[in-house]
Amino acid sequence: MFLRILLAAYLIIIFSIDIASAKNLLYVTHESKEKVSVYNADSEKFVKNISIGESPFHLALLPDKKLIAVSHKGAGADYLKIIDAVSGKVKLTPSIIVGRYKKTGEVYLTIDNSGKKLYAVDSNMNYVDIIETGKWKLVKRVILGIQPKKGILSSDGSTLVIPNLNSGNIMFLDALKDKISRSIKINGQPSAAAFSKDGKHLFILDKENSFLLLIDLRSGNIIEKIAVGNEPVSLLLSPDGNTIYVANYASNSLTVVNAKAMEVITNIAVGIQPLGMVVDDKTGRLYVCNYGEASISIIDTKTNSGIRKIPTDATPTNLIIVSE
Amino acid sequence: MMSIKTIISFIIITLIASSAQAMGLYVVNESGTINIIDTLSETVVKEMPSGNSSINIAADPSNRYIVIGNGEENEKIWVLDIQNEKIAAKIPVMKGKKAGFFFFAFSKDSAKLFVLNRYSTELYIISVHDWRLLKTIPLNLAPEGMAISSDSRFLYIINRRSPALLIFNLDAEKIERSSNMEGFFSSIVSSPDGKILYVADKAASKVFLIDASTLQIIKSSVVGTEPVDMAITKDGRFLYVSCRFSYSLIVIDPLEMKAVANIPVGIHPWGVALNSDGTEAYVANYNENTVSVINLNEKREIYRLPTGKFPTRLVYVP
Repeated sequence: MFLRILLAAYLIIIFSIDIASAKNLLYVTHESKEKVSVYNADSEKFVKNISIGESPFHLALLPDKKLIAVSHKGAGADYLKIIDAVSGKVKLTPSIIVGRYKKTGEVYLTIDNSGKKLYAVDSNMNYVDIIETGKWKLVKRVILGIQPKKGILSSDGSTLVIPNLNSGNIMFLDALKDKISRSIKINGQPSAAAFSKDGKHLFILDKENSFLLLIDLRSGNIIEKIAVGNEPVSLLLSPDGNTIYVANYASNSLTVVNAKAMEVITNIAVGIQPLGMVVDDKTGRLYVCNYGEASISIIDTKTNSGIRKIPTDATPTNLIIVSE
Repeated sequence: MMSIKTIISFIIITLIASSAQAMGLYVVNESGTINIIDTLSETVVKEMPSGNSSINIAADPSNRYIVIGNGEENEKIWVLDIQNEKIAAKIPVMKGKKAGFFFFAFSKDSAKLFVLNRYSTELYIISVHDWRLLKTIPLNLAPEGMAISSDSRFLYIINRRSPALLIFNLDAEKIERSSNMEGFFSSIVSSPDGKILYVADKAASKVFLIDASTLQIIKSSVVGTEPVDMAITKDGRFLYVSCRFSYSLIVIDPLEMKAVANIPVGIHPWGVALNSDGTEAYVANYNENTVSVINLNEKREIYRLPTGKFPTRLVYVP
């Protein structure tokens, strides 16, 4: 009897350790499925679904790693839900009672370094909502260009850069004054942006002309451009700042670029219509949502080759890694 | 009197004009037809049979004939007389049922046609004058493509076995040199001066610049996913690479070996051809039954034309 209890206790401990150590989770939005699905990034197994509401689109993790913001099409006025990453429960954000034309859930989320501000770029309504995360209250709404995409923050948090796809310009939002301070026009469709590691340059994707552009921030000039695949839509800079991964939506591939030399290193075939990407700094694995084929491709960034695909539910748009 | 002269000269002009109608694009469809496309009026003028499972097409340097490789039981190479738009000859090569996956190279004087097939280990030499099979040379290769040297003395062959790239001496009828490169090569073209070879590797998504005499790799460039065909401008300033799984045509500066543009095309692009002045490119979209017409100055597709089923390769006749 005593031995049995001991064994049971031992098993419980082993089991709970296993659960505790397995906290490397992938959260994935599914635009057509009203939910976020969760996968264990280590075992690549499905963990659970979290109901969100119509057309969940984009995710952002708060720095405390306890809360995840999810944008979606929304019922009524609300287009943002908060997931408690510990319990997996969804909180409503009732204080954001602002009118919004509900066309799609295409709202891109960016959280500042302190975790106190959330920028929600609405690609259909052409504005960015600046939200205070403590009370989940709208602080300010700033009008952008036409069809703005994901905003990216400079490392010091002073500037949010927003590419406007259909007006062909890149806007700079002064994050202290919450005002547009600068705009750079390009001859094309800017679809994604990233700051260089030193903060002196900006990488921009031109969806229309299949280019990765390098812009000198002092002059605002394009100083280098290289060809990538069809319809480049998302951009990821490796944590060391040396490599850029470009998702080519209409070429079903990733272009891997040496960020310093602005030279293409290789081209990796992924699934149909790659969209959101995330990299796990610890394992060096990159995950990309294949919107058109209900899967996530896993890429080994050390060898720049595809490892395998995880089948998911339909229309994955964006994903984040939550690890402890 | 004057008016008769005018009428006669008008008739002559009309005759000259109509005889110049051969200019156009010839697209071969795997379903067994070719399309003749007038690129000026942007219309498909004609569709005619080209033999079961026809895959490759080539024009002789004098632009009088087009050869088409197909998978017919006996006569696997058909010759189209461009002027009369009629099949002028059917050449029996390779017995039995095999796919029409041929590779063609003409000698620069248009006297000889060299033929390889993806599923044959032999080289066939055909006399253009009477379309007679002159010689069959066993090579023991699994060919994937070829190019001919500017003096027509050597064939550069890409091979699915080792060696992956080799030079075949046509006078001595033996392998002159082979490369120790490894890869899954899908296309080979030679620079206009014949000194450089460009070889596409479909597994590595790369194009290599290779010294044609030593077969040494000098440079390489990353292209789209699974490059399948290439075309180079007459001045050697641009190289175009069709990429099957990235649905695109990549523009390469062939000296710098840098991709300068990516042009989205249709589904599963295959063959690429250029017009005579290098201002337009044509890409066969295999799984879409279309040809993309690309303005090369603007580096974008300007229109798309319907073809027969499964267009594979194409050739432009000036």
